[in-house]
Amino acid sequence: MTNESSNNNRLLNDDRMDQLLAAFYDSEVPERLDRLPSSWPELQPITADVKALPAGASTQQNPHQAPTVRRGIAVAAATLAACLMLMVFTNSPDHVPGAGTAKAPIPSGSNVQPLITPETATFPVSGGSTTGAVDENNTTLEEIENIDLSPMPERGR
Amino acid sequence: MAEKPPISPNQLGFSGQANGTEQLDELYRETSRELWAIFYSQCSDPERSYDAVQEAFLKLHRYDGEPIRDPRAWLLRVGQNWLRDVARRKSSSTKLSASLDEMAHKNVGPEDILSSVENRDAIREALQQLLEDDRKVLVMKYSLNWSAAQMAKAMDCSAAAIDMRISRARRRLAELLTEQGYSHDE
Repeated sequence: MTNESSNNNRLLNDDRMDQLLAAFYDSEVPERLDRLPSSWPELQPITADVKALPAGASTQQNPHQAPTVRRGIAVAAATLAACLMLMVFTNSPDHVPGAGTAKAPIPSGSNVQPLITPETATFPVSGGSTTGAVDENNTTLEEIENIDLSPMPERGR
Repeated sequence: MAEKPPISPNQLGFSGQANGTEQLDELYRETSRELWAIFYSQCSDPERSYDAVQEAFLKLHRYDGEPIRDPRAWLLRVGQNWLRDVARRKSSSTKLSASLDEMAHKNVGPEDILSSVENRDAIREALQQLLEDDRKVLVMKYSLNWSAAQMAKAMDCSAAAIDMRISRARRRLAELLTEQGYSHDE
């Protein structure tokens, strides 16, 4: 009981606690709490940095611009590599010309002759007889089941 | 008080950066101090409480979902979630004050006590030992200068209960400070 009353005497009274707490909470509020969101760097548009640069100043200095330049170089290098790959591919012996461009229109005025024209396409595409010759060597499109692999007699002997 | 209309990012005009930021500023003016005080009552860390306020507003700025009926409640929830995540990641490392002992039996004013960082840390630590509702009423009274009636509405209780809670919290805090060495000696 004596201890308790002694302790109570040592306690801060209400007035002192009021003063202490009011001063304490005032000192706790960060000054930056008064800064409005419009002034926060996180909400500044990227273009603001570019606008802030003086006229004639290089935008390379802008940290937002540097990646753009590097990205442009990377895109150019990738395009060049793709062109080189295309050239190598089109020059390879296995490459079938026009295989990937079946639907590409034939340019007007070009000397390239179409493989099949309405005049030469006299044989049926499917079904029916295919005994007709399709060229001057009497080549036909007739299907045969067995191919005779024995040597043929030489012509003219 | 009239109920505020729901606010969506589009209604805030977030498509136009300038207009959107103006309305965000307006909302910030209305709610930031209160939000900070509530967050502070939960963590007793002024900087972390500010970060929670800022985080909530940044999230609102980027928000692109359904219209928000009560932006204040939304900001409060987002800030509290952020505080919880941070608390999980790092534990508070408030250190005990040695200089409060030095001030024992000295008749010093609040400014003298608060001039020391260690003393402020000690008070924060003492606040942390109070119940969360006690910290809330203290921050509402001393930081927001709310009346007992305003606090009663916010805490959903009577003004008399608020007065009693403030008195009890203040006394408990005084005891904790006395235990740490600071005493009233006149």
